Amino acid sequence: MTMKTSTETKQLTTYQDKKIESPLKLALRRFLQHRLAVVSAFVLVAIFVLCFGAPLFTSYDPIGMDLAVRNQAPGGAYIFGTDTLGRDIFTRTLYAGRISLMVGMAAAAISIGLGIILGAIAGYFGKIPDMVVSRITDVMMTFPPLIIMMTVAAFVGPGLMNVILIIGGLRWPATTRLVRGQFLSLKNYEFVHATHALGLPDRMIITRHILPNTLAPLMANITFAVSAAILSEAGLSFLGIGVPLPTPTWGNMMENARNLIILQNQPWIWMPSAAFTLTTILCINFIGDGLRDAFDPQQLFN
Amino acid sequence: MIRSDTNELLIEVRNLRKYFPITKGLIVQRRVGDVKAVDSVSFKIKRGETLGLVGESGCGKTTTGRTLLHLYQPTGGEVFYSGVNLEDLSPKEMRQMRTKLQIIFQDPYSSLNPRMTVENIISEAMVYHGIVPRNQRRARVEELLSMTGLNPGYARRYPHEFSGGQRQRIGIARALAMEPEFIVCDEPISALDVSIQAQVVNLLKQLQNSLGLTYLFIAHDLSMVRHISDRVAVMYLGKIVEITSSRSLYRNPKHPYTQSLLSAVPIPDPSLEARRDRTILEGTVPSPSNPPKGCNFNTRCPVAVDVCFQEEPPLELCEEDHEVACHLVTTKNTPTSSE
Repeated sequence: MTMKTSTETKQLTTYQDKKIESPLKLALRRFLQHRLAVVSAFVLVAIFVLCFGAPLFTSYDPIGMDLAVRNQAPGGAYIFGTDTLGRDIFTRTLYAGRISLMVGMAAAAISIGLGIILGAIAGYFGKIPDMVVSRITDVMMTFPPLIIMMTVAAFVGPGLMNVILIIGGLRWPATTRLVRGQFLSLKNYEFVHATHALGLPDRMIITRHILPNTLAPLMANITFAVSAAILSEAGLSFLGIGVPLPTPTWGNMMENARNLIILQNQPWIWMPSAAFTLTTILCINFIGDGLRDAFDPQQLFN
Repeated sequence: MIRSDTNELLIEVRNLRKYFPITKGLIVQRRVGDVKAVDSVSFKIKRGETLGLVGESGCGKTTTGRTLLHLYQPTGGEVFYSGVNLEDLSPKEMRQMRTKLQIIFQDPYSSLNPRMTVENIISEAMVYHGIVPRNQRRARVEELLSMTGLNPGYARRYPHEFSGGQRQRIGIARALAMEPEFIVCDEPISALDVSIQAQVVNLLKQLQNSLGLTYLFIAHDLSMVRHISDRVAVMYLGKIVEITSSRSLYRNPKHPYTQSLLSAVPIPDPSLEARRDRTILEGTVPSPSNPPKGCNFNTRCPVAVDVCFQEEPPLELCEEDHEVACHLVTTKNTPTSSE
């Protein structure tokens, strides 16, 4: 008897004292335990600060040429050296990062947005909407992405906006499938049946009950969408059908490596942008892994 | 107990059917058959009464409860609530009507949205339907939490912080928030520890007394059903085989299936338990997509005769307030359990 009351009061007090842990706080705590992801987050923040705060770190003009100092090796006044037109590589790499990161995020936003809307419609309503969306997705996924991007880019011409739209408009099928699958499985959870029994409208069921619970796999998908978009932009710009010169992007800076002399003898011209791209992609992907583990939904269902 | 003297009928179910189609084909889906989960089920529930619904796994108990609430679109049949045919309501009217008809779910772990606070889980729908004004929401949530035996301070917590029994109480509070008259209790205790089961059942009984609720109590545990129900319906393979007051069901079961179910209930006395006769059913339940000809139970019935393989027995009154679907009972040949 005494034991029972003491455990009861103990339980009561622990519930009173314990800080309220929302699923988001819980996820953040678990993310912080993921060492690689945390380090990656710091590195990525540093890259963002460098790129978007570029004027603070360099006083050179990313576009203006200075033919007197062409092809300088790294060191001295030019940390990473200069290119064939006498522009500071370090400065250009930072300003290029702005464009590359922006293209990556904007394109990812478009593809994720489309993916969520179409996936939610297909997964929630089923039947004919599902048929239509799923078949379009199937067809989209049969195209080799780079070829179709090149074809479309050749049609609409190069340009920042076009690159964003092309990349964003081609990557949504993966997200659509993911969201649709999540909706199909969550639709059968009892808490969703409960929302029907409570007489809530579809709009509230989708946005307040099902969508927040797709967050875990979606988080990872969002980060991978950003890194894939950055890579796609680099690929398009490398091929000369992305963001047109003289605006620097990591992709069109790497394009210089297509010249054999530069590739072999002047690695400082293409290496910094390649290194920045590589580091950014790795960091984003590690963060994605960390987020996926941190948001593990199974943790919340028991 | 609050019992209205008028014997007012609150729920009437007539020939309710729910078939799930079996389809084949990738693009053009052909219907190749049906799983007859609920096949012509009829029953009535009076206001303030509890109807127990028992049967083994897969017999269609849960589907009956959910089809009654139109959570699944019925294949056929009608459900009347206070004389209103739910089939006649527009989707908007149906959403309004849902406040009166609530459900408590089996699995307390998957029945609460893990990303919402307890307060939001309980109050979202009542604010949406305008049952409680927004500024009184917190007060009402706290009131509901204490009504279901939870600490009102839990309102801002998330479901993952609670045990199964506590979660089930949150689920009950969510249903009560709508101020319903009728609640389908869909095996609300079968996922809980035995020690918690009695607490939850007693809570449901106590709420019924204070709020005048009407229950359809679905379960497979016969002793719990006896404890809470006024009347009991026994289901087998999508059909009701026997329906009567819980007293007469346990004293005088007529259908051979009910008899064998009751003989499986253990007696809490080792010497009696060792000596009692048990009817052990052979075989398994036939597939509901391909039920046997004649009586559904004929493949396992210990006393089946020729007519059972030919004709389907209708659910008929054999005594006052005691309906049975068995050829042997309705032709006055009360079956004896195989001894």
